[in-house]
Amino acid sequence: MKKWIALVVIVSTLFSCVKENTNGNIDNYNRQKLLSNWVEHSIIPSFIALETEVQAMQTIKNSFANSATQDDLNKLKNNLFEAQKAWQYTAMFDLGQNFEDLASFRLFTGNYPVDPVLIKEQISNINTTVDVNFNSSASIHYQGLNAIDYLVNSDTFTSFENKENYQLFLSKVIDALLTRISQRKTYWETNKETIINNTNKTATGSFSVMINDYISYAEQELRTAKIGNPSGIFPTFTTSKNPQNVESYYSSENSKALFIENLKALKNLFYGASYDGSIVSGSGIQEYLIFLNSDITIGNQTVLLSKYIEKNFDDIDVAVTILDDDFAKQVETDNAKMIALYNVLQDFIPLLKTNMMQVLNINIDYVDSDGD
Amino acid sequence: MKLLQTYISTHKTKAATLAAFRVLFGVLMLVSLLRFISMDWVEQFYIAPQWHFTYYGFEWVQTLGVYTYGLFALALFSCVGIILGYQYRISMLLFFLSFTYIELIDKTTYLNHYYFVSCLSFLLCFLPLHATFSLDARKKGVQYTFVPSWTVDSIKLLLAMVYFYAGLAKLNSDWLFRAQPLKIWLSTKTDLPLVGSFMNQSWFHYTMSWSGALYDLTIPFLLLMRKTRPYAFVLVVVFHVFTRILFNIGMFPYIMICATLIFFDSSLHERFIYMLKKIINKPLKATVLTREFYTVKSAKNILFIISLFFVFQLFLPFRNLCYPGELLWTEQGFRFSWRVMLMEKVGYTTFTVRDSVSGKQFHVKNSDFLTSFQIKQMSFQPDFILEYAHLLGDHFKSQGHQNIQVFVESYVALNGRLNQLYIDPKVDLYREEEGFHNKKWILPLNDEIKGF
Repeated sequence: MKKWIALVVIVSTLFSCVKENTNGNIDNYNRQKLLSNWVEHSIIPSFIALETEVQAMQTIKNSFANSATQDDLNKLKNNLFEAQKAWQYTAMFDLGQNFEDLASFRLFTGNYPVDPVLIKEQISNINTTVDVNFNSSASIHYQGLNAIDYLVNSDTFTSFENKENYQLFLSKVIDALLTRISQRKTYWETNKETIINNTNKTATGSFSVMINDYISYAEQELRTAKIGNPSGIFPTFTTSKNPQNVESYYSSENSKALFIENLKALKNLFYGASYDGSIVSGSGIQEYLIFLNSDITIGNQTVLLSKYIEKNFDDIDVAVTILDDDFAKQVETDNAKMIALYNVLQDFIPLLKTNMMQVLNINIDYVDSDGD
Repeated sequence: MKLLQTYISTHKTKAATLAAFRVLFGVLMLVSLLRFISMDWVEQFYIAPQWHFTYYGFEWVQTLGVYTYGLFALALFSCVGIILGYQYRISMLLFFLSFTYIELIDKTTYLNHYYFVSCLSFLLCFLPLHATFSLDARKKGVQYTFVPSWTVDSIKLLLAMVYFYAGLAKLNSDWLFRAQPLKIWLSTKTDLPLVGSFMNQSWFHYTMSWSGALYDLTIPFLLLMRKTRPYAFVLVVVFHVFTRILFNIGMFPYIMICATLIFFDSSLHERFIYMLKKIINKPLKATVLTREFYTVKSAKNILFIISLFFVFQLFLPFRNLCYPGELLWTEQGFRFSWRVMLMEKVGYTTFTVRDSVSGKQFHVKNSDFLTSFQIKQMSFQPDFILEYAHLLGDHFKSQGHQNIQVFVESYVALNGRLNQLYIDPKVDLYREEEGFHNKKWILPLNDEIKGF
């Protein structure tokens, strides 16, 4: 009898050592170092860069005399392009955003295509006393970087009769944009420590949330928005080309450059490089996958998963290189090449969504049920 | 035949074994249910989802919404009845029905453990677990010292089958020669004390795979033989504690450890009952008679049902042989066959709804219809994908869309293989029907998994 009591005691102690639902997926990779690298070397610097550009735009538009000069416009165009490039790094993560908001930072600041009809409507209705509604879900079609692109890069500026209204609207769009950017930047700066120290691997752990955002960003922004929509793969399969759906349509000669920046943002976090690429500490997804010793079986071969993802990055590079700088032009002249790039991306996204998520062993669910 | 007849009619064993099993079973189920409720899973799994994935043939089992808590209350009450041995048969029947009903509401939550509990509680409905140490016996004024051996042996048989079949299922090339999926699962557990440093090493993955298969295949026999039994039980404890540490498998290890106690001599169970009696410290009423042997009423019918149950259990796990293709890939005949821990499978599945006449189409946002848990499970299981396609078709039809077709683009990764296209993207799933026939629209796995 005593033996049995002893056994029961031993067993129950053993069990109590195992805390309920800690979700024992804990590996001892240094996630804190990775998170700190991402947040401090990539995310925050990219927000600073973006804010700087938009602040410059604000200064320019504030100094508009009665009417903006061509010189002002050219300066705005330059700053806009720089801001658009920096934006690619900032719009990836939804951390700290209220999910009840009608749209995310990404949509409020970088949605495209914007709607010229809505923008013109806003311009006609504008007056100095009533604020423009920049918070409705419809407002994503008349604000953000791509609205500014329409305002400064299309020929509307010269053709628009009511210059005063026009400039007032431009001014409000820039102000609203800057406010949002500064808010997000402040969020990251004030919550830096909390985010970096939340290293657990449950669904609410920083790495879990960020890796999910990383993949959705690759899926929705890099693949669908930048390539799928203009090439006509999305929203219909019936290849009806939509060149007007490229990013920055009114300066579409920049669209490829923006795609490349977006891809670089994803690569930086993968390789553990800083925002401007100057520091490569290596604390990134690649290192994590190597740490986990994770390989992948392709036919009879076994290769390192990280190597295979690198190969996919290379494949994307190759497919992009042959494209025109102007994606709108590319769609018009030879859409097959756009679709070819889409197909390469379509190999890449499932690789992240299935194989990578599998080995990182992260809970996608907020509900944590038992397994088999 | 004669041998069998004597075994059935005269072989006997102590009723205390069944009583001890009853108390343990009741307590474990009670704790499991309370744990389930305390995790808020009733809300998350049965109330919050807009829609549930049903079992083929059991589409009529619907969630009761907030009244699902009532089902849990019923199951809890029947657990108390089972523990006390009060109206035992009704309690057990109610437990079986309420528990099974809950499980049938949504196959998203399917677990072999739950199926095991349903099977076991079905079997227990027919066995005299209240023959002694029960309120029933006290009320009736009769308790029995012995019960027919087959009552206890049928529980042992079920347990042995679960282990053995789980072992058989592990005899495949992924498990034995690629150490999958354990390699994937163990590699992320390097933070564990003591064993953590092994978790990322190949030899450890193989050792675990092979010893796991060996354990499952041999443990029923080691438990049956008196000489090896104590060692076997130590193995049981070590094995299940280890799985509990490594994996998120809830109450299952506790249930298995307690259940295997039934293999021990009845002296152990008698001591357990004796101990409980001492704790309760309520003297037996003088009026309670102790009789020698419990005779099962309408034993023939009961034995017939139990035999039928076991024949069914014997063959059901092999039904995958009726289907072509890789079992782990197509999952045709995967459930209800004790195939535990065999797959690490993740899918990425998106749907397109199309008007076949106008050619207009749009992508579906899965989270508009399903919970994240449902999306996860739907993404790699063909019957889920089909049912969801029909839900989408019906939904958009009711919204006035016409000539609806539903197409799917699905990528699935199995046991460390590179993901591949899972479902034929050209097939209109809205026109495909669920059934026992082979699902031809599942694309074949670009690989072969040898073995069971």
